[in-house]
Amino acid sequence: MVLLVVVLWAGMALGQVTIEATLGWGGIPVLDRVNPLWIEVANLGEELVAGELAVVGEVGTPWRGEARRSFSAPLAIPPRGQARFLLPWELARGTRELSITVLSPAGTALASLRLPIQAALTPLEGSVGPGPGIPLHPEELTDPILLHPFSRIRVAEGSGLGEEEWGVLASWAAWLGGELEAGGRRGRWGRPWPPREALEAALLGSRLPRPPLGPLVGALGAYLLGAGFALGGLARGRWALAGLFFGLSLALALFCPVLYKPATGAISFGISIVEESVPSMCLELLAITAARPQPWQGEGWWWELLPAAPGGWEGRDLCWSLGPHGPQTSLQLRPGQVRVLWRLTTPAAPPQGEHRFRLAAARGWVVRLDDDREGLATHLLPPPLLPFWEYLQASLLPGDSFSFAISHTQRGPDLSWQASLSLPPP
Amino acid sequence: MNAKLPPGLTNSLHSLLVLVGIMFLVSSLSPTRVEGLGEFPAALRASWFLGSLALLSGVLGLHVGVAEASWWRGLYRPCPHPLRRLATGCCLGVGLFLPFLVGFRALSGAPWSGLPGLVSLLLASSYAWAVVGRWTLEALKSEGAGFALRYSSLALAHFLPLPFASPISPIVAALSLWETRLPGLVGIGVWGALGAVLSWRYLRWRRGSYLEA
Repeated sequence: MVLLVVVLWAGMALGQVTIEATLGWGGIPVLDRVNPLWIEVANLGEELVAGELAVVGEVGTPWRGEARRSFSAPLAIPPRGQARFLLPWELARGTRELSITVLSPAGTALASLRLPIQAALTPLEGSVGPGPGIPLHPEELTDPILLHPFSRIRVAEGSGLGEEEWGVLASWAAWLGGELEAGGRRGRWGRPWPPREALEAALLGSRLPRPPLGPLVGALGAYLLGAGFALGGLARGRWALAGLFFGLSLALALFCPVLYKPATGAISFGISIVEESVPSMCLELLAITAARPQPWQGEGWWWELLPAAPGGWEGRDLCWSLGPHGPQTSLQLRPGQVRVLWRLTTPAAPPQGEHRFRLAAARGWVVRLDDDREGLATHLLPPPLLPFWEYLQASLLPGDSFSFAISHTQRGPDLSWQASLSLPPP
Repeated sequence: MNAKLPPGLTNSLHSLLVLVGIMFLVSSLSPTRVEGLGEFPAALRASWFLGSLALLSGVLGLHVGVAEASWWRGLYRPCPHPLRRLATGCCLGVGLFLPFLVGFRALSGAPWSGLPGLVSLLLASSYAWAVVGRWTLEALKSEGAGFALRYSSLALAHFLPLPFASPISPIVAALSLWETRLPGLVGIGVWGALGAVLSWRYLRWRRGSYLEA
């Protein structure tokens, strides 16, 4: 085991600022998992250090395409003080090193550190209390996402875990593919996730609002017909009637936005998957695109499910920042390109109009519990749920029931569908 | 007489209006599902409609100029305020396009800020072409040569700068103004200045030709 701790004394003011960083539990980062990244910036000088902390990592290969992951946070460290950061950093293929820099307000580097990455291909094992693998302290069990590098956690008897820590472990076990051993009993394996393609299909198949073509054609015909009379009048010097007609037409044209609001901003399809046994945390997946190139910003930490197609990673940059309202994720949307993001979060209230279903004994059939009608899933399931049908079949057993609700909202130019899928415990 | 529109112009205006209406309807078509957004980006709709509008405003100017010149020629007396009448004809034509522009702004979700610049460009461009139309009809004896000169110069001015994305072309300038970008102002400046220079030169030529007569 190699502990990847690197310390660098650098920068202006004769080594006034130092950076220390560790990626992964016990210094072992795991590939394709969200690993904890601890950063400690120390101010050894006698003056206040103000600026920005920037972390940059490249992901991808020439075959997959290359993209950038970056993080930035404002920094103000008093003399002889320290600032500590704990970032959930997803390690994707192609990341060879992380570049960590402290920048002054003018943009010059006060200190910088290159953190080499040697990622493990298999997930870790850990123990709360005495046991094999990476030792975990109860106070470290704050966020299930930080436990993503583990595939197995053993909790020794008498480890003194509170309700909150058990909740974190249960969420990790449910959504991040973990096996939990506690008190001599084995917990279950994590539930599979819907494939990226299902999210993409759900978004791409969603209906867009359309301009009211009927009224438009009617108004156009009336305008062209009226213009014929009005222009004839103008040739005879009758300006008043023509002026009235054109003024009225212009006034009516001003009412177009009442009939139709185009979705010119971000267009997204989000689904929150709630497991009934872990009500405190849900898996949220978001497929997002836009009609024209534009930036998107979302609250909290989001990570991306990258496509498998050759060159599919190209330009899929993701930027996290820490602001006064907490962490934010931002990215650039392009027409024709779908970004699929995910995170673990506390579930919001599901949309109104929930429909309940039960998997029938016959493969491909469901029972709609609202009216007890049994039929082919392709006939009974709401269209936005159809892309997830394979996933549901793979993760549920005949007789399992699930519920689904969806709503759509248009706020200004942004159009979004928000769905909620509630699943029974496996 | 001064308050009347040349009868030959009403048909021209109406046909141009029908063309703009068709462009408007075509650009209002949008994909039914999110899937179609990549193949039918919003930018394409804007470039289609605004490009057509920029070109048709030039055609409008030529029609106004030619109709004015031929009408006054038939009346066997000089027009007292030729430039004022050309400007009025262009304002009327662009004003007729205005409901489509306002409707298109709503359908494409564009901000209002692009509209004043675009209308200014259409007015400046159509006025410059109106002077060209009037002058060529009065100066050239051959109708065919006048027609060829007018429409070839119109095509050159609109399409030659396109590969260089130069805002000298009203098509490029119109798109730029719609997105409230600075190069569009160059287009307004160029066409405004061209209109002013052409007006001045035309008045001087007109005075000279009357003196000769």
